[in-house]
Formats: sequence, C-alpha cells, structure tokens
Amino acid sequence: MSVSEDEADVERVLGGEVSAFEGIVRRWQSPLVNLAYRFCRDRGRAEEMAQEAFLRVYRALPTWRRDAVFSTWLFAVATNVYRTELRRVPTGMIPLDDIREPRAPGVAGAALEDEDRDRTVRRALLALPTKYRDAMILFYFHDMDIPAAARSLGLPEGTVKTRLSRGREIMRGKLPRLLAARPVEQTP
Amino acid sequence: MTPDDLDRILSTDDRIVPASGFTSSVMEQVRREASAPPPIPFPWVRLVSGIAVILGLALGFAWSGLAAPVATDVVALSQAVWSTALAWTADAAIGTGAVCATGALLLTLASSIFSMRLASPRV
Repeated sequence: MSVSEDEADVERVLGGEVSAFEGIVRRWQSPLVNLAYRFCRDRGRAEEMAQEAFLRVYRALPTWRRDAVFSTWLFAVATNVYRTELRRVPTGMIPLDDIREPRAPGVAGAALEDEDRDRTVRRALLALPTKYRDAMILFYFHDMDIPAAARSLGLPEGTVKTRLSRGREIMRGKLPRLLAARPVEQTP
Repeated sequence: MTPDDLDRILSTDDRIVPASGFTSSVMEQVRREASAPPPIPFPWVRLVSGIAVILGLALGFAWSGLAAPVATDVVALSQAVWSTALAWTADAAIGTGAVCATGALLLTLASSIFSMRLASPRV
C-alpha cells in the first residue's frame, strides 16, 4: 500500500472527486474489516463497523493533518469508531460464524483441541476490561508493534505497555480455569 | 500457558475477507453523503447579536433605574429619553395589539359563519 497513492486520492477527494475515495476503500477494506472483526468476532457486524469507519473517515478527511501518515490516522479514526460502537452495543452473543460445522472423521484430535484452545483464548481477550482489551487487540493487530498500537489508541507508549502487561496478567490468571472448563470435543 | 503461547495464539488470528459488495456499499453511502445538502449552520451571529441587544437594553434599564435618585442633568435627560421611548413603544404596541386582536376576532367570526353555512343542511 503506497503512501503517495493515499495522499493523491485524498487530494482528489478534497478537490471534489468523490469517486477517488474508492481507491482508499479498496486498499484499506481488508485491514479495517479485520480490525473490526477482532473487536467483535462477528463477520457481519465487522463489515458494518468498517463501513461506518470509512464514512467517518470520508467526513473527517479535511481534518487530516499531514504530520501523521494516512494509515496511522485511518486506524486511529477506525479504532475510535469501533470502541464507541462496542460501548453502545457490547459483544455478548456467540455469532453464528463461530459455531463449528460437523467435521469429517479422521481429523486429528490434537488439532481440534488446539483450535478449541485458541478460540477460548481469543474469546477471553474480548472479556477483558475495555482498556486492557483495546490495548491488546491493537498490539496484536499491529504485529506486536507497541508504537503503532499507541498511535491507533491515541495513548502514550508507556500507558499501552502497562495495559498490555496488566491485560496479559489477567488472562494468564483466568485462562487455566477457562481452558479446563471448556467442553471436550469427542473425536471418533 | 506461557506468555509466548499467548502471543502466538493472539498474533495468528483468523483473517476474514470482506464481502464482494463491500466497496460498492461503502461508496454508495459516501456518494449519498456527498450529495446531501450541507447542514444548516447554527445562527451564532444572530444569537450573539440578539443577546447583546437584550443585555444592552437590560443594562440601560438598570442604569436608568439606579441613577434616577441621584439624577444629574445628563441622567435626567437620558431618563426622559428612555421614558419617552418606552411610552411611544407601549403606545405603538397597544395600538398594534388592539388592531391585531380586532382583526383576529373578525376573522374568527367570519370563519365561524362560513363554516356553519357550509355545514348546515340545504333545504
């Protein structure tokens, strides 16, 4: 994804060429939808949230100061939209996407167990208090890059580090119980 | 579970692909947004000027009321001007109000008669 392409598209949109915004949507739809998915774990809702984020970005384009890279600003706006949306309607129900389909016989039991464990861990992340959850979601979304997570959250790096540390601590404390309580899947 | 396990699990999250119509859906909303008329700005100028006029009048009344007991020539003059202006305003208001009230009553009467005639059964 090229910075100059983003800047050129922004200039064109600000010049009145609305269709130039499509380039921005095409380039950033996947990251924004995936970030939203990490916040809500529901594909349909993730797309709705990303759509709202793009609309907010379009409205706010004149306020983008060129001192930050476009993607940094874009993620900050989107993160703000997602957090507000989750405050408004928190995630609670298990979305249909996550209900497992029956598997064919022969699938290795160990692999299934790993998958179960991973899903439990990701769900536990969403159950964290908001400030730890947000820091951890952004940290892992940005490939464990603390400065990037801090920029998206609009927080100092030190604060993000503290929240990550505390979030991990809470998860490590609760995961053994959660993992022990999850239903064991029967393999043929 | 070790910290490394946690990092590994959370950094290798599932990736989803946006639906094929996602871009067009976003662009449709963006175009709708772009074609919508700009929101009417709040009339701050009118509000501020209105408040300024009201404050000025209130201060003027207060000042003339307070200054009356110790009236100098200037104060007496301004008070006289104020009183005259107020009297004129009141007269005009009363006059205009009376005309309006009479007009409204006549209009109501005419409207009532007209309605009754329309509603009454024709023989």
